[in-house]
Amino acid sequence: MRKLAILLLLFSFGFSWSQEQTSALVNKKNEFRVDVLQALAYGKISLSYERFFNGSFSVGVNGNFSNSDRIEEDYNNGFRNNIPRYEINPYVRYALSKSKARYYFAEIFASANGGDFKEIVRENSGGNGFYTIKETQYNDFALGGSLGYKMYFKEAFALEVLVGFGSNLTNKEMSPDVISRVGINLGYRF
Amino acid sequence: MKKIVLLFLSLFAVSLSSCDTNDDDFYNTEYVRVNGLVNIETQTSYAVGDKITVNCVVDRLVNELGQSTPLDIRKTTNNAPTLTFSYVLEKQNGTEWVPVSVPANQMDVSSGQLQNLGFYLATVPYDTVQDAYVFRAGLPLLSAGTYRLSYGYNSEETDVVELRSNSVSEAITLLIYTTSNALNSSGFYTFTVN
Repeated sequence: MRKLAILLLLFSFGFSWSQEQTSALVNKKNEFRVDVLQALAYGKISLSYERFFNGSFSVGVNGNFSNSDRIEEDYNNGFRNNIPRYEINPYVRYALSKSKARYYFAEIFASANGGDFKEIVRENSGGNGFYTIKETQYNDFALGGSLGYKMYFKEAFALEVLVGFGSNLTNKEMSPDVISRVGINLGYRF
Repeated sequence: MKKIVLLFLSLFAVSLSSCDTNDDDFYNTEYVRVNGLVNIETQTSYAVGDKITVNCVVDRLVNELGQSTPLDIRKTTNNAPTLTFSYVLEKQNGTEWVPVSVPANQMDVSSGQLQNLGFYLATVPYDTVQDAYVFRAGLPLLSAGTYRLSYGYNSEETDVVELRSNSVSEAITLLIYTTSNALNSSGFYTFTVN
């Protein structure tokens, strides 16, 4: 965690070894990324695609698929009542800096997300009652916003740090209240 | 730009400390109310050498408050081997109440287990013959004075006793709120040993 914090501070205060690569990047409109933080910390596969327009806007979509043993164990032991299994997050971004090689950005995103949910219910059998754990699936829709910082190396390789939060809107009794978009992404722009 | 950097760092710090969206509740626990499961075996008078005895009998099927059918505790807890509850015995010393600590070898335990942990932790095992969880133990009253017994050591509640099932981790833990006889409105059974 300390190494991560130091890394982030270095990026945030602009100790960058990347060079201005504006001209080459302008002509590259597509980017794929993978989130290494989510993969290492939570066992989550998180892939993103981003399409750049002329000017400061871009759009993209992020997909997350989770199969974490730790979360599964917490769920089974009763420390949580849901397991997010998937998130599809389309987003619109606006670059806050003029440089194309390294810049801050803001985004708004939507999230279609779902997973497993469990609750204790009382049932009857043979004239007697008993409590049992009933499992179902949930689906929900969230809206949120994020801030991030992106930098490029060798006119193609991207490193991106992203922090964002959204709120689920339609099925809060089952789904997590908050959708977080926190990640450190490595990408390739072409 | 400086504001953006500060906002960004703040958001990241918050997210690192609290990006987990779990609630902290224990989702395998069910809370139910069943009255009259714990009993103090009261006497009209007590002398030095007498015992203050507490018993607890929880049948497999109990009458859960607010429900029309009996609750099957064994099925709910996936056959939890024991239930536990706690109580405290104190003796008045001037204006203070001092916990009474009885060594294990002086406890009179006829069913279950009783541990002195500063309070008394009662373990109520399942008895296959009676098809019930059964506990009974007496604590000797070794000196004259005013005593009181209460159940609220591990709880905010004064008028209820909390019986907790020792279920395996993936099974439902049942927390049974029950009542005991002989308690006053403050949750104490107070008595005098002559």
